[in-house]
Order: sequence, then structure tokens, then C-alpha cells
Amino acid sequence: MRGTIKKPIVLLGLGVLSVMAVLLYFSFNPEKGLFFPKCPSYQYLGIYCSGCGSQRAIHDLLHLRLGDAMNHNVLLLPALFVIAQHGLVKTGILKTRSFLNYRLAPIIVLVIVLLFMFLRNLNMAPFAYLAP
Amino acid sequence: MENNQNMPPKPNNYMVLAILSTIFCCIATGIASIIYASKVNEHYARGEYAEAQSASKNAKMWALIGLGAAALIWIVYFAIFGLAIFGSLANAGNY
Repeated sequence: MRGTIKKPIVLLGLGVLSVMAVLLYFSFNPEKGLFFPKCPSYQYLGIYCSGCGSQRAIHDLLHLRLGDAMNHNVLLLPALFVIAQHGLVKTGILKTRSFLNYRLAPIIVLVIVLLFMFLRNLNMAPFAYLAP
Repeated sequence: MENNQNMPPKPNNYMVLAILSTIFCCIATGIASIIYASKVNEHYARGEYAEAQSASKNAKMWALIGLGAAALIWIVYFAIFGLAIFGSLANAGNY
């Protein structure tokens, strides 16, 4: 099979990277740090994308500040929840059907992401909350 | 899966990678990947297995391009600023 040798190395690399990332995002607040990369779409186009604020949200999440995490990026928490549910189904721990396995799942995700991205760039009262 | 027992199992649509790519990196590659993921589902539901498989390949490719670019930017960024990070780690008590 192709990739049988590569896979463990890739997984190990990803594991090391994720541990480093968790330590980094736990120790430092991206809001204050100068050394965290800014989202290119915000930096160069001035548009908040659907991922903007996720670095700050991860920092909040690692410090168990759920409210702040939602404030920086509302979609991060639900996204992680859906992915976790998918993982639990795949590993057989959960016996239900993965949300991501439904036929319309990609379309629904697409609509949510685009709608979120559109709304959070509106500089108006109810939607300003969605900006990071 | 609903009406054809002879079909091979549905090709992976890589939705997890697509979502990760959309959150952590690039809206453009993430959306490309999500669109191909939905094509995998639609083709498979219509019994077009070969098309579903090629959409699956594209979904994987776009998600990996996005995540790869994110990882690369991230690693380069922290390789450059690594010294600054360890410098401030040493003074971590000060902030």
C-alpha cells in the first residue's frame, strides 16, 4: 500500500507540532503577542474571514474561557464539536451517525461559513458581535 | 448506500480536513474543498462512482494545500520569531 511508511512519520510530526502549538497558544495570548501571524485576508484585504479570531479563540479555550472564545470566533467551538463527534463515531466509541456523513453536510457547512463571513464584516449593531 | 448494494463504499469526502482548512487557514482552499466534498456526495448518490472518486481526490488536494500552506507559514513564522518567544518565556513572570 502506498504511504504505509510515510504515515507514521507524518502522524509523529503532526503530533509534535500539535503539542508545540497547544503549549504556545496556552502560554501566550495572541491578542498581546507580536509574534503570532495575522490572518492574511484581514492583513491584506481588510476582510474578516471565517477563521479570523481562531488563534485568540484557541487561547481562550485552553484557558477554559468559553465566552471569550465564542466572542473571538463563534464557529470554532461548534466546528471542534462536530469534528470530535466525527472522530468518536469513526473510532467506534459513539454508535450514532456522524454529522459529517449526511449527504447535505458539505452544503450546510458551506452556507454557514459564507453567511458567517458575510455577516461578521457588516459594521452594524447586531452583527458587530460576530467580528473577532 | 440507500439503493445500490453493488456499489463500493463511498469515497472519503475529507470534510474534517476541509473544515480544519477553513478555520485555520485559507477560506479559498477550504471552500474549494467543501464544494468538492459535496460533489463526492452528489455523484455517489447518483451512482457515479468514478466521478465521486475524482471529486474525493480534489477535495483532499485542496484541503491539504490549505493546511500545508498554513503549516508552512506557521513554521516559518515561528522559526523567525523563535528567539523572541524563548526570550519572553524566560521572562514569563513579568507579564
